Amino acid sequence: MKRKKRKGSLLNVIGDSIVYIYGLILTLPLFFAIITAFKSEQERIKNPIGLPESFSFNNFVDAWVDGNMLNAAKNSIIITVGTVILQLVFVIIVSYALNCIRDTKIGVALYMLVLCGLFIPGTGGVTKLMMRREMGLYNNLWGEIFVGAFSITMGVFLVSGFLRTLPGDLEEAARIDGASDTQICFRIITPVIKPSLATIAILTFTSAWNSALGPMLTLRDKSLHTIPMVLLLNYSTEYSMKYTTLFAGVIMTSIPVIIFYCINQKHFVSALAGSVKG
Amino acid sequence: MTGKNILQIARKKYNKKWKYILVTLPILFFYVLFSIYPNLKVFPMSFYDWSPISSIKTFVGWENYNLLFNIKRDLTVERLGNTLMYVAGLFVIQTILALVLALVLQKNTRKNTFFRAYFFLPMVFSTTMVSMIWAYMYDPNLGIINTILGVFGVEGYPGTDFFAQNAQAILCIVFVHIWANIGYPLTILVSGLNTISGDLGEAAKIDGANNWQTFKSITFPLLLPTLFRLSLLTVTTGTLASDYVVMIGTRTGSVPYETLASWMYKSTAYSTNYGMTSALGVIMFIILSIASLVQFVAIQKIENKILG
Repeated sequence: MKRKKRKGSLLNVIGDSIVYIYGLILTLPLFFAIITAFKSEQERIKNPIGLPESFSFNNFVDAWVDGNMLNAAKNSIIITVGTVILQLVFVIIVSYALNCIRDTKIGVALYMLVLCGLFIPGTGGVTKLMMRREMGLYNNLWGEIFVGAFSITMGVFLVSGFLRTLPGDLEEAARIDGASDTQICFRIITPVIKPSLATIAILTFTSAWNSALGPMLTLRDKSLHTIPMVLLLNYSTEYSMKYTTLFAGVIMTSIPVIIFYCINQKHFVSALAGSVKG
Repeated sequence: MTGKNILQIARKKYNKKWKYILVTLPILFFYVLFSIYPNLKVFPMSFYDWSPISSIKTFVGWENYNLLFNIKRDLTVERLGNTLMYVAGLFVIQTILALVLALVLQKNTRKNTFFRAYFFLPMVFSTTMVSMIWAYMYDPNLGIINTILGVFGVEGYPGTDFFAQNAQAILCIVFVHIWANIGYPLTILVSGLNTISGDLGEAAKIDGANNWQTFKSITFPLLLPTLFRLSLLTVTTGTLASDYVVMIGTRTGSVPYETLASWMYKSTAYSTNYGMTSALGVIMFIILSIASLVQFVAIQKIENKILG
């Protein structure tokens, strides 16, 4: 009995140390990024891993000015907010309408069409790019919003699943009271499916706010660059990286997202991890 | 009820159905246009010679595939190998690490909840931010890892280029990928573990099974469906992952390592040979479809076996 207990505690010690070591691996790169942001470029070259001699905020000012951060933040906010809102509206309309006709053959067929998006691999980057150029959804913020808003697969999948579990009484009662479909959809159903909508909003927000390689293909003008693009493309001289300014920019732009995550941590975890079903 | 009435009701119902369909059609049209159509259009476009700078499209038959499989064979084989290495590395390391962490952090104590939330944090970072931080960690000259190893007097540091060899480079990038995304498999596995009833484990313990035996014969088999679902997703994300390869590569200079996904992205961004890029898209489409199908069938078989 005694032996067993000791063995169990040994296992606990090993388990705990794995967690702490991994925690350290997660923390160290962030720690070095933070201290680098407070150093001058000369100090970084002289002493890359030591603490900064004095905490100066010069790099943050440089990052803000060099990267034209105000403009980048404006672009990022326009794209993200536009995409999230428009996509939510589309998801609500499609899910509600398809739920109303889910007993008909055509309703099932349309729902299957939406689900196709979950299985078809997204390898058509070239053709999509050319199509967007031909349609004028290229090199403007509106194009990003428009294309992003129509990726409704995951949203319709989630909301439809939720709507199926709802009893029909609510809708029935509203219909008898003479409510129109628009009223039922936006006044009655929308408040009920709020949890699913929050999930979709978080998923769309993180992907729209963070994406860099996609917009790099389509947003060619420098004035249209978003925050991740600025971080990727600015802050280097001809010969080397200005890591100090870069990390000031990285920290500055990630703090809002980190705060947002800390406040809504439960929602974030369930949205980013719970929504995808293998 | 008269016959006319029934007819009216029927027509009303019929009209109503079409109302719903008409509302959804415009949205579904654009959805198909942006999310499905381009991925299928690469199939016909891979038989053409076309580029972003001219509107002329010439039918060339299998010429683009000939370019990939014969003329650039070495390159294609190397990058296919890199992709397989990426996927295999991601799958093996991420699954084992996430499983170990999930087993340790399974119970909902305050400490465990904190660590789970903390390990999840990089999921909200942009791939750009993660790539920049790790580009600095791996930097051959004044990078953090090089400097630290140099301080401890390890030979050859600083000054080692972690990306000089293909296999090493891919593993370094895979590690970044895992660092940023471990929160996802961790959360899935923790919830998977928590749905497995604790009674079974208790019963096994009373019968004298030790921790390892309990894990091997009870927890692991019951967790298999979850693990398979995760593997399906890992293979897809691993094959399509281009962000870290492209971005860390841009920041650290030359790129000897390249996966199919990053190759496809770069030829979309910089090359004018869009016929070859389309052919690449087709190849990746086929690889992903086969991989998903195989895994899907495997999952079905395993689940049937477990459920009896």
